[in-house]
Amino acid sequence: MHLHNARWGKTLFWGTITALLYASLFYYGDLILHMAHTTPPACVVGHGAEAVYFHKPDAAACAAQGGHLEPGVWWHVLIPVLFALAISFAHGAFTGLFWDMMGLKAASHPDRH
Amino acid sequence: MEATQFIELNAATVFLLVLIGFIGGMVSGFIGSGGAFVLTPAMMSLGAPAIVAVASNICHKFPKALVGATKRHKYGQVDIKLGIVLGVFAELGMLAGKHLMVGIMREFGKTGTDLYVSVIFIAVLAVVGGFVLRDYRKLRHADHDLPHETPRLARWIQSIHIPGTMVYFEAIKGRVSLLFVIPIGFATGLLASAIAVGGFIGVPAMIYLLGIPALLASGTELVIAFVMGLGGTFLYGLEGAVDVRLSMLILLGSLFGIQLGAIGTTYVKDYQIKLVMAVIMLTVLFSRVFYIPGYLSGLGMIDPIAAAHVATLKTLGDSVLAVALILGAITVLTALTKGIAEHRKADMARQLAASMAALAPAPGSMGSLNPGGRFERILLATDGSEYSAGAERVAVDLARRNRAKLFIAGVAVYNPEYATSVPGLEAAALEQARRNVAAAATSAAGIDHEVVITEADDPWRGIVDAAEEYRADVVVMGRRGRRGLARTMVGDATARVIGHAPCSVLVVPRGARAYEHGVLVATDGSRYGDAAAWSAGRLAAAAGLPLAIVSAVLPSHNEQRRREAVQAVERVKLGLAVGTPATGIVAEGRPEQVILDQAHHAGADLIVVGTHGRTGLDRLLMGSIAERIIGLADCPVLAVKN
Repeated sequence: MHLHNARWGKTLFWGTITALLYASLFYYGDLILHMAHTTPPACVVGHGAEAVYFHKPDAAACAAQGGHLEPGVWWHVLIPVLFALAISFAHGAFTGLFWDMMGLKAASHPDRH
Repeated sequence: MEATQFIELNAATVFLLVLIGFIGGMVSGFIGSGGAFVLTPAMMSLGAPAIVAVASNICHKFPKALVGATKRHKYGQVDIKLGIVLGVFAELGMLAGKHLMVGIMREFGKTGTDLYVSVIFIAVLAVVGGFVLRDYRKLRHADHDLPHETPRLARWIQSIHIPGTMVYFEAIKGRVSLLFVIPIGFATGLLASAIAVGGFIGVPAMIYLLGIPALLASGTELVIAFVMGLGGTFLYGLEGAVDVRLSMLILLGSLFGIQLGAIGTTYVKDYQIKLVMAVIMLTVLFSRVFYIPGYLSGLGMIDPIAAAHVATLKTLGDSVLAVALILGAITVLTALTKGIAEHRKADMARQLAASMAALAPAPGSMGSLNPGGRFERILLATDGSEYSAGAERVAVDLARRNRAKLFIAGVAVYNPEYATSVPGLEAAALEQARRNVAAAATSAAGIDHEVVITEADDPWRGIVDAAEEYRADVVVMGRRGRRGLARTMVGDATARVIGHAPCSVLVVPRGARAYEHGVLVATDGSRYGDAAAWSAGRLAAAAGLPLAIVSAVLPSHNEQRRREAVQAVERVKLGLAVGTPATGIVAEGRPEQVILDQAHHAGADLIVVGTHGRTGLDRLLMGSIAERIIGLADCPVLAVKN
């Protein structure tokens, strides 16, 4: 029973971390999207969720569309990398425990040694 | 200026992405390969431009590869050095591929890259799907995994020495020229940049060109996937093409699916996995074909097709893709539920059998030993040849030590059908049998013994009959007889006696002596293993010898299986408690090799193995691992009947 509780606790812990990571990914969705699009130089037309991004921008064409130019910020590329690593780790730990708790486990083959 | 749009996320697309990730992950966990050939087209079907689909796919894959690589490195299934070298050159291949993709995008627009990705998809899936199908047919006819053999091409490549380019790789266990490694890495990257699955080139190339075993190749591929994926995420990210929301939604479903798929594989046979793989690959290929006319028309390479027709074709393609995914999902889930049900049933039967055995321990049911660990009636089967010399020596010694009755059995082999037509045949056969046992009878002088001559048309039948008639506790015999010599490692007669005898069989190699240093028992947690352990424990205790309890795990076994092996060994150790020093060992490798190595380490000169039941017709019922141990051991092996 003790073991059982410990596993519940662990599953809950990693589940919460995973949920928090996903929540922040979507809570800051517009910002993250903006950062992804402005990793290279971009022409941004419109604001927030409505914004349309053009890459390899041309100043005159951008102005004609009513947009503004944004210089690229290379380190924005770290956002997806860090998110991917963190979520993969937390979520991986959670799902393993989750299926275990659901009683699903790999078959053992006594006859095959 | 060009617009790079990510797909709009609403409740429906989020649900679909997670679902696609789940199914893709499940398929990928089941067939052991990226699954990107499902995910990339699916994302494209949801409206993501090819470049975003590929980039987001790569981004969801590399952290998964890192987790996988670390896990498999623990099991010794990864050559980090080779993985990094291949990964770095794959990175260059990917740069080249991306350059190509950007060039196509600039020249022909989104439709151009879509066409490029689709064509590569079709070509690669056709080739790889075909190979997998061939493997499936090969595997279906083999009843077990085929042993690894270095392909001829790989042997040739390994034999070429180009000064200044030779590098040692652990996976190859030798040196190979970098000039062969570089193109493999480069091609892997080039392919990955287009369809996000480089493993389609990397793994087969490692197997067929470098001669690396499949398990090691697929483990090392994870390192390549990580190096390449991380680099790829940076490269595509700098272009603003990575939609991390998309990646993470796919990952959300995929991580659930991949573990379910991987669990599913443990319930099915290898060839079934290959079949599912081939069917899914070829269906995805088929789905992509429907998009091609639309792309070609969009690029003006063929006569324009009405927009309505293009849309219809696209719907058709999407439907076929959906069918492929659903088909894969259903197959895996069916395998899983069916496998689990069968497994539970078998488990219950096993538990029932165990409890029945515990309630009523029938005499002879536990390896025919008396509770004191003694054999009371020993039957030596000999054909008087040099192959029986060890058996004669050990049987006499054993009878002396156990103060047992020794029956020395010779078989007069003749066919009664001919006996009537060939006068003197029976007499000659009987005379021969008597001569065969004479030497053994002489060396048994001073112990309670009896010479037994049986008549049969086959030696094994004569031995089994004698064992039954004289209620032997154990049959002692050589590994090969005269008849077995030209046949297999374990003679035909020996194999058949093990299969059909009513008691345990002690198989003694030519030069072996009676055990006096230690006993080793191989257990796999099954009731056969338990019977062997029981006998081994009693034997060791009676002789005052140390006991080693060994269980082998394969490199492919997961943590769960490994835990079970440890538990099996611990259970036997606790259950025996026979007052003799017992050590438990769980080691990785081919079971027979593990057991022989451990016997050597522990100084054990008697190996005890369990064999399958008494019914059946062929040597198969002896168990292939037991057969290999018996065939390779240089000490006596006791095959215990359950």
